[in-house]
Amino acid sequence: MLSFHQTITAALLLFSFSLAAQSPEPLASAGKTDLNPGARAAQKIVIITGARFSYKLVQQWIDDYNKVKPDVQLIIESRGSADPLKYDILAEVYEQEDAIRKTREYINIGRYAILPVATARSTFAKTYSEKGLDADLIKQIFFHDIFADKEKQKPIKAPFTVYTRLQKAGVPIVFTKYFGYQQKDIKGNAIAGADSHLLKALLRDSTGVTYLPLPLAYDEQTRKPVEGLTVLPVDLNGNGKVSDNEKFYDTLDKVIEQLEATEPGDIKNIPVEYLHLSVDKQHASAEAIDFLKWVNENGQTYLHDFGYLTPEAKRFEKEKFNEFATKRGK
Amino acid sequence: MKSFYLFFLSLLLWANAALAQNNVAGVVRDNNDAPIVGATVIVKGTNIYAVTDASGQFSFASPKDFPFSIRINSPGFGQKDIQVFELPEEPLEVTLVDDNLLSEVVVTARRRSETVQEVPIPISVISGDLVEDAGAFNVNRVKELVPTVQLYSSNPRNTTLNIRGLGSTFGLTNDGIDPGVGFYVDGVYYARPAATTLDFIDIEQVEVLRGPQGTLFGKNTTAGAFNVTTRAPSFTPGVNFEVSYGNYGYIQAKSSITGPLSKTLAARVSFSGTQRNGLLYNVTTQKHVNDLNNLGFRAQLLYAPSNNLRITLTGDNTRQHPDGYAQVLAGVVTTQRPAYRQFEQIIADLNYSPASRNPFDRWIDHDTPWRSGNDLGGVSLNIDAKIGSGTLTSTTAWRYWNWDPSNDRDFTGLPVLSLSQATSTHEQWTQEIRYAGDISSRLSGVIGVFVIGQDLNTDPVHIEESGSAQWRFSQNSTSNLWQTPGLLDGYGIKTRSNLKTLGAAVFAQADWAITDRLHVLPGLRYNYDRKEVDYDRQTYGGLQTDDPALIALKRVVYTDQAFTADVNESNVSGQLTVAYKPVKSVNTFATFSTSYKPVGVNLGGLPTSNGEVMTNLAQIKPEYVQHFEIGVKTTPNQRSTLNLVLHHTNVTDYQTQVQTAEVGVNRGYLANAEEVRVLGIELDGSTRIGRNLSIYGAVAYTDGEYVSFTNAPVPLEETGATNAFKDISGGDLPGISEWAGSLGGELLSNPLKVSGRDAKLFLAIDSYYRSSFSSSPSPSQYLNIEGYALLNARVGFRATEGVSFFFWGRNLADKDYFEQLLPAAGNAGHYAGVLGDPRTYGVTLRYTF
Repeated sequence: MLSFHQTITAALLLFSFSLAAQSPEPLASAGKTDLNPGARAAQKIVIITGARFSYKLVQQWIDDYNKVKPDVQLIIESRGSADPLKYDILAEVYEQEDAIRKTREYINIGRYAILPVATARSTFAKTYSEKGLDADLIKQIFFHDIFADKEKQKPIKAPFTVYTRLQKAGVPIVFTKYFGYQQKDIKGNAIAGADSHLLKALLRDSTGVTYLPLPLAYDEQTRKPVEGLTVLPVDLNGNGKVSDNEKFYDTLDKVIEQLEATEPGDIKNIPVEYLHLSVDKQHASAEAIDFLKWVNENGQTYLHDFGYLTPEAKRFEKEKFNEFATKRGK
Repeated sequence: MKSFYLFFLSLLLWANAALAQNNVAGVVRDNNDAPIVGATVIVKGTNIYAVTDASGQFSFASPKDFPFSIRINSPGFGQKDIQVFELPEEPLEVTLVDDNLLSEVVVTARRRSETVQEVPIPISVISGDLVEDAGAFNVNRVKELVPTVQLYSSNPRNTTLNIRGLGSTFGLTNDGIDPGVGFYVDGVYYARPAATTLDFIDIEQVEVLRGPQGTLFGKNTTAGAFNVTTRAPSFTPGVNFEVSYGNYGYIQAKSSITGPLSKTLAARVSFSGTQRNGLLYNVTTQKHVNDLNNLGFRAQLLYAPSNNLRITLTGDNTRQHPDGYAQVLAGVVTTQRPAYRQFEQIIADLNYSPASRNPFDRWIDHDTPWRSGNDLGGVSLNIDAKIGSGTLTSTTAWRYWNWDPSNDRDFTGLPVLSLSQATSTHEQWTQEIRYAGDISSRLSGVIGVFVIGQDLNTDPVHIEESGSAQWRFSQNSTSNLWQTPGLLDGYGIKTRSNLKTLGAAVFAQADWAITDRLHVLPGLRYNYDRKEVDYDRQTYGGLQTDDPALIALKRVVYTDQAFTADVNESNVSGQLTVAYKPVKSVNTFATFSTSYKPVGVNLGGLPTSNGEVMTNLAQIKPEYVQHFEIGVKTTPNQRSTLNLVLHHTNVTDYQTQVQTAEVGVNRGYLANAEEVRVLGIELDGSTRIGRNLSIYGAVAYTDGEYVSFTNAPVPLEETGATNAFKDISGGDLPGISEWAGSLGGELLSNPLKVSGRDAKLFLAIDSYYRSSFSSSPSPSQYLNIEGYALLNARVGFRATEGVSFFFWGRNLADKDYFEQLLPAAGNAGHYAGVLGDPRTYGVTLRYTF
């Protein structure tokens, strides 16, 4: 028979276990750490957060880096706070505000493209994988616009349902800004979750249409669009028509090759933005800087494998980060 | 101690339970980031729900399984579905789109559907719903909503529809000139001004385009255009029935039925009938006159074999048969004629006293019955075919007008003018073919050809006939011969005239998008106009005598007149607009345009000079318009619009109808003023405050003057001066108030159930103000109308389907005001007034499904 004190103790234990059991499942490869930056540095722990679709690539870098620096623990953690200081490294996919930019040192390590996609089995996908989408049609499909010239809008006979992310996030921000809108202007069903969830929701709907970054739209193994998904060709040169040479979406490599062969200023109707990694200029730990320095030297190796484009030389600024690292003793 | 442990255990278990529930939290806002209170958040397929608090925030325990869907609802907003794939780490930020955002007003002014804020033309748009709710069932009432519009109507034929003070002759009209404001219904040009007095039938929208629009519309429009769209046949069945009752025996019934006849054929049948007792009382006949007695009918058949082809056949007929358009004695001025020719002396000699000296007693004693039989109708065939990236439209129409009036143009109970009946028939046919669409991604536009033929005849004759008191009003000397018994009794004129016109035009306007923000819109128009007139006026009756002295006296009143004319002219005019959008919500534009109104012919008789008919006035020169305007249309947010326009128009050889003292041309005659100028500023806007209040308003400053009119007839008070003509350069143009404005708004409740259907309570108020204006073609000290303000309101509930019901009141302050003043024939010194309606009120019941 348990004593009263034992009962209380058991209850406390039960409480603790049940709390643990009820905690949300980890969103990234590692659980959250509550260590402050100083404590993390002492334990050689580096916390990384950012756009979730970049995590695969970042994890690949971590794995390679740990081969040469096994004593540093690099953890990818889902973002739970808007305070950049809570994390050692940010892997972001959109241009940040000036106030934040000034305080951070960046590596523009690679680029990613955002493409319109549709459920492969939909009539919409069949129709527009042939016809393609020009700028007006993309705007008509995706955005609420009280200024649109209704007469100029084209009749769309194929049923479609637009899916978009609810929360403010890099990809929808880049996509909407490119076409002159705000994220709240996107029509359709909202998804609370990550870009990968957008893909999941789309595939569940036989009329789904959305926008996805290249690394998510293609299977990195088969190099083809994710099963069940059709990537829709767009008017790449902005001449108002989608010609046959603008339909090159069979394989990931072909898309990357075509986009890299086109001057960035000449790419129309496909938003292309940088994946950049950054650390705080003042508070970055030596381990975080060292990791970024390694990425600065070696990180481009996997870009194509994971669906990214190489950066423009003028934006990569490899030396600039090295200078920063040197100043900080690395 | 034990109790402490128990308490602590309870606390732990409660906290455990609470914390075990992973909550989904969020905030619901509207488009302006204002929190939405009371929105319901439901997890679909469960009994989990939450309601947003005063900060728009909500929270609920997350279901265990992902993904799950939530649906967010709030009255007045579109519902939002969200699929939740993972427990959000940050509150969900949900924006609901307001159902009550300012409606996107779509116009077809440029022959294609565009939002009004995008079009670089000043346009005022009145929806059919507002027309119906506000009781603005004709143009005269619509003008209270659009302060840049002026309408003066002493009867349907003598109706002036102007925009910014320009368009048609002020006061009485003349059949021999073209209106400068085009009046279009479903793309069909209505040539006769009388059409603007009709009750609207089943209106979808009224667009008022300000400024010349010759490169967009078939018939030339030198001052602007009314583009009226009626509700089209629909393949979705619908019925609308409305009945209104009001004071003065007001009854109005409207109905509209639409639906499919087959998969490709749909029809709509619409009816409108209005009846109201007369607002003036004739003390002699002891009858009320100026009643409303209107019946209108329209039937449309739509054949739509594909999405690319729509053929609409329309027939309409409107019949207005009021005892109407009587005018009351509004005042008397002393002219410069001798004392014996002053009105007061004349009526004293004839032992006559008017029924009332106060026009707003609304009493008359006229001895000639007033009648305004106004029948209009027609048939049209409209074909819209989508070809390429545009639409080819063909509009073929035939219309008729039968006019059967009777007027008492001396405005007294004396038998001065016993008959004044300008019965007429008119037929017109028009054909317009145009193509509007995109030529390339950067170039779009409209190109069209237009032909109109008109045949206007007296039916069979126009009659003006004197009565026994005419001699005293026409007496221009103290000769006793004027008192010759029966000299002018039954003495009159019968006029037979025929006017045939042919007009043809080619017009085009392009829209070249140099960049997405910068557009250049050139336009060009070629006009050809031919007018053939055969005018023959013969005197009859009166004393049959060979005495030259008596004959001379009779000729003072009426003369025989006959002339023919066959004139044709062609003209090229154009416009250039540059439109620039610095940001998406701001649309700026500048336009320079020229325009032209064809030659005019006098069909109301010609004045005499020294006893000779001035046949040189049989035709008048075309008028030429140069117009410049700059404007900015802004959409500060999705709930508001604010637009500003500055305009300046110069008209050379301005066609005007001037008044003369001669009884033989008692409706005036056409003349050219060398130059007039109108400039102004217009500001209009609308906004929605919250979900329940919308406000709209417009204010216009307009300054119109004769730059040069050196040979104008003198005004009423100068009748009898040495010279019958004077230089009125610098004087005000008639019919233009410097300031005019309208302000209205509507307060709506949240949806509620009425008889099981969704409805909203509403309170709507609209007001109209205009400052004083001249009511005389030649500026007068007396014929000026004081400014006035009107207040209208309605309250009730409105359902999208089912029964709507509301009370309404117009001119709630019961303001006495004149719409027009006009001198009586012969310029004895008295003048009449067209009175605005007194306070009217009633109730409307509407049933829609």
